[in-house]
Amino acid sequence: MTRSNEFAVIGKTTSKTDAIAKVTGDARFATDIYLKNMLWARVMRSTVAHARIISINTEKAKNLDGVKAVLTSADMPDGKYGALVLDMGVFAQDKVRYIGEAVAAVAAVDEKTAARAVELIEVEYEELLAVFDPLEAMQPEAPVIHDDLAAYTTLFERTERAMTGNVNYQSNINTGDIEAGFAAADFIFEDTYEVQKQHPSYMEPNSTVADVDETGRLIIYNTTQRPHINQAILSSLLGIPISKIRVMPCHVGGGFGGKNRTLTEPTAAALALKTRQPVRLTFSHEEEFTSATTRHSGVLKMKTGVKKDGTLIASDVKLYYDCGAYAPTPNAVWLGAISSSGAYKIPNSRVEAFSIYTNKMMGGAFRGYGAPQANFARESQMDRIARELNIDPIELRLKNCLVAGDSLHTGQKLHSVRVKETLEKARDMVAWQSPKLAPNRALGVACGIFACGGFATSSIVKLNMDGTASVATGAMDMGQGLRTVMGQITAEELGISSDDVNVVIGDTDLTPFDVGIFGDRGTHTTGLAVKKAAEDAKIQLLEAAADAMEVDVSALEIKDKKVFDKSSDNRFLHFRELLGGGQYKKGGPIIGKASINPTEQPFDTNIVQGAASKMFSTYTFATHIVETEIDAKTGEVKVIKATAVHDCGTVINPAGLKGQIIGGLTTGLGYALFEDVIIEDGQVKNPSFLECRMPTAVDIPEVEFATVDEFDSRGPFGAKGVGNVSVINMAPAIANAVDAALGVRIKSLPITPGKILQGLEERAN
Amino acid sequence: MILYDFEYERPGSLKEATALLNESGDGARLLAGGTDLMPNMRVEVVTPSLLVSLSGIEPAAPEKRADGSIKIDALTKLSDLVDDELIKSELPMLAEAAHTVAGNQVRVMGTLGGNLCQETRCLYYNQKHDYQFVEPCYKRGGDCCFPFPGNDHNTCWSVYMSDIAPVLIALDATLEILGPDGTREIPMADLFTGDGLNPFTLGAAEIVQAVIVPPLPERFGWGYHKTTVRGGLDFGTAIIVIALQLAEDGETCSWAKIIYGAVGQGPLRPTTTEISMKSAVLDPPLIAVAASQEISPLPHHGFNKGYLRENIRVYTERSLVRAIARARDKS
Repeated sequence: MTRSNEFAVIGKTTSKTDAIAKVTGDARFATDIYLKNMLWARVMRSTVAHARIISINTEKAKNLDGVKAVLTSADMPDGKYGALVLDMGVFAQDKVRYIGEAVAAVAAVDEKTAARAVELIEVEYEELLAVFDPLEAMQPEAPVIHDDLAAYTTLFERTERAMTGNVNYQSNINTGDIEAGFAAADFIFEDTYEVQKQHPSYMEPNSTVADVDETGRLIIYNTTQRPHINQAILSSLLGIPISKIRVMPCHVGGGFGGKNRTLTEPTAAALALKTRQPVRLTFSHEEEFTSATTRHSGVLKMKTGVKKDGTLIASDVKLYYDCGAYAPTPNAVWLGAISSSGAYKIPNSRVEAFSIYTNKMMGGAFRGYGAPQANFARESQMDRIARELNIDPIELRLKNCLVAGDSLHTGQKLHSVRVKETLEKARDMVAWQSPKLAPNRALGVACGIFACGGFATSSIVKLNMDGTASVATGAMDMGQGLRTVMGQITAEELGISSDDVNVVIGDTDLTPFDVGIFGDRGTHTTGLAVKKAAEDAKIQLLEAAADAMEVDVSALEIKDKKVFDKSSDNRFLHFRELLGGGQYKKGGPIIGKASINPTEQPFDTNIVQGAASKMFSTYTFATHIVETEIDAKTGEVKVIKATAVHDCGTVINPAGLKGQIIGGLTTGLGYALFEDVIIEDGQVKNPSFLECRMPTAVDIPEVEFATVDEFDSRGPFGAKGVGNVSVINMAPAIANAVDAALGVRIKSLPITPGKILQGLEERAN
Repeated sequence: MILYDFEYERPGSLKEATALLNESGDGARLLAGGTDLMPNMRVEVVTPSLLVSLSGIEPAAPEKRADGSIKIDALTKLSDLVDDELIKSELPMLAEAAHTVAGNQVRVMGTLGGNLCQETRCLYYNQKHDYQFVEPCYKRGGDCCFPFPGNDHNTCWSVYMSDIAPVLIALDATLEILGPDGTREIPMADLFTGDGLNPFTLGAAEIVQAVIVPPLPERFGWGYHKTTVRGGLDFGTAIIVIALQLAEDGETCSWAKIIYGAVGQGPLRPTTTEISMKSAVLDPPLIAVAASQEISPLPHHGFNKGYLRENIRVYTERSLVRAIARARDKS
């Protein structure tokens, strides 16, 4: 592993701090919270896809024995929320826009009463024409889903089509000279790809217990990836100051981006404030599959100009991402635009990326965050180019891949790029000769890029009297291992062991601001703030030691929880001597702090319009090769083995890395072969784990993984992220393997046996 | 979470259970492992007023009887069918079929009788209907059919997805059924009405008590295949079951049974194919022809008829080949 020998703690596997508690069932999740006099909430949801609300009658529900409160949008302040587009209220306001949209909510003494009360709410609708297809929704004659779209508050620079018709967000990339690029091309490849919805399928549904304490403060126990943003959104939606809200997240039973949302919190909070009793709202799994968020489905058009020797010279990409009825995170569309060039140098590139409303459940954040769609298109087409130009697919990729110092098509100059090495290493690991191994056995390759890090975060490191440390961050651990990694970073910086670090996360009273866990920023960006806070604490500790030992700070060094006078081995002070009691003599307790809001290398606004972010700190890369067995008679595909090589900078925790890679590959595998949220006239036909079909343990192939040597100067101890890029290669790699084996190119996900058989039939005719 | 009230009884014997069912009429349901009933109760497509739990009754171990037949208590857990030495050695097809049911957590709860008496399934039926597909379909006592709008109120194309029933039909099994008036025996295939609205011929107070599998003949061969999307935790896309006997020459088919599961309101049996195989020499062309005979699978769970036919054709051919190989192994 990368440079781990330079470190004491970094690069070593330490067991996850919460592993035992989770295995034994001791870990406390939001649904484990039972408070005295707690009420049960339930949401009443729309049965129609698009309608004006004429009236809502809640009288019968309110009069039911045991019902304590019924709320609709009429009872709420008039606010809307969203990451870039503030378009959604807690409850439907004037209109409903998808089947399953929250119209009202009930709090009652038990769940059964709440359920009966929901049935008693009467809503009169005036039904409107609905639109379910993003390309149809782009047409001028399409029904308009948000009537006063242009008046919505937005947090990005609006491009020409943004906030018009059903387009809520558009970003563009224009680099080089696209016409000249295509004119200079020897070959032009044009393809259209289609991708489906995929649900994050976290096991634990969204859940909040809201309480009002004796001082009138709102206390939120929930399952989230972004407690501090929850706090801010609650403040704005409920019209109460941030300081009157404390979010205390529990363990998170999986998030994968899907809990980078605020769904159950406002409803539970409003009901708690109304009743002055604790209120619990937990979504059913049906609600999760109809009314939470999925990966954006969509249509991707990709036109690429290539020289005879395989050099990519021009690319024109249009991304039509279907965000459903609201746009909680069109940021995914922006990440799709960035990733659509693949990990390649393309001098002339144009991307137009749209987030389009339809009358369906929402599309939003999900591991891979806009990139799995774009990379499916890019990497499928790369293989097609390789085949038609008769160039080895890995050679073609090596010829075009980015290297350090190159600029991405966004104009950002890249400082940490080892995609070439990932391709070479993966090629060696599988002893690649040609993709086809046997009539029904083939390899498929894909590589990819994902934006990593950025956005505001901060951390506090407090040194304890016994010589240990406590580190606080507002970021969250959703199972990915953030607690463990933050502990390791603190320990390494302070020269103590991981066991000597308490990690406090999430609680908005105890932790400083973090924007939330998404976009590979936990280890990279939050980790950097933690490292700097620990550094600050260390400096203060050394100053205290210098004072006590009456030497200069430069004469001191730290080893084994002791501060040594370098000139004499015998002269040292234990941390506990410096911190226990001693810390009160002079200067008070030692508390290190740091905040970060990375601003390096912002996007070039001459090249990029409508960017959802000003920059990303760095980029991660990976190459995956799958070995597949394909039954040409049944169209069934089995992935036998996946080889994954990542450029993730310094590895902080090898076991954590392995978990992230296997987890990401598995999500990618489900996206490639099985998963789909099938919507018919706005209704989800398969709202269950049984029918949405994420991969099971027996579907996961043998995984061999490796990293390439890289030290990212912007990350803590040289580290980058890994959580997202591990998802994005599986679908194209499998599609490429299918093509290699059978000569059938599947351009729509998931790759089902039915599509393969159809492809074979078309090829035969 | 089941959000309505119901009564619960836990009788000490099946006899008491039938008496309870008899007294309570239509509103009562038997609860064995609950792996089919509980999800249906949770989504409220089944809302019994009384659950008669069989959890207080200990099943007898599978037993080989004097005539060579094997009797299996209907309360036997699916995981025990997978692991039982007698079943594994004498009825390996049954053990294999049981092993393909869901996952281990389901198999340690689910019972043989419950698996046979599981409700037919449909994407539009097996989900909650509080804001999606709200209008009751024919099977829910209403007046529409979501997947097949042309169907009339007598027709429901929900599919019967037991992995085990097709195997028991192929093995000529008999069901021992206990009712208020005593026991009766029916051939396994007679459990099914072929009607998705009311899939079973059982009376309201009747309980499947045991399954009796007759001894297998000499030169018996079998093939079992369950097509699924994933490697586990899936109901079958199609289930293909073959049982056959070879004549002494090891080439001629004495008889063959072909049963398809998950693609009809009950198990399907292409009897003309079976007849055409009788006394025929099972060479590859004949096998291919037998596998290609027209069948009419019901499209279900997003799988269309053309795909199902093709999948069934391929796996019928492969399963026939396996069955013949097994039969030759025995000769």
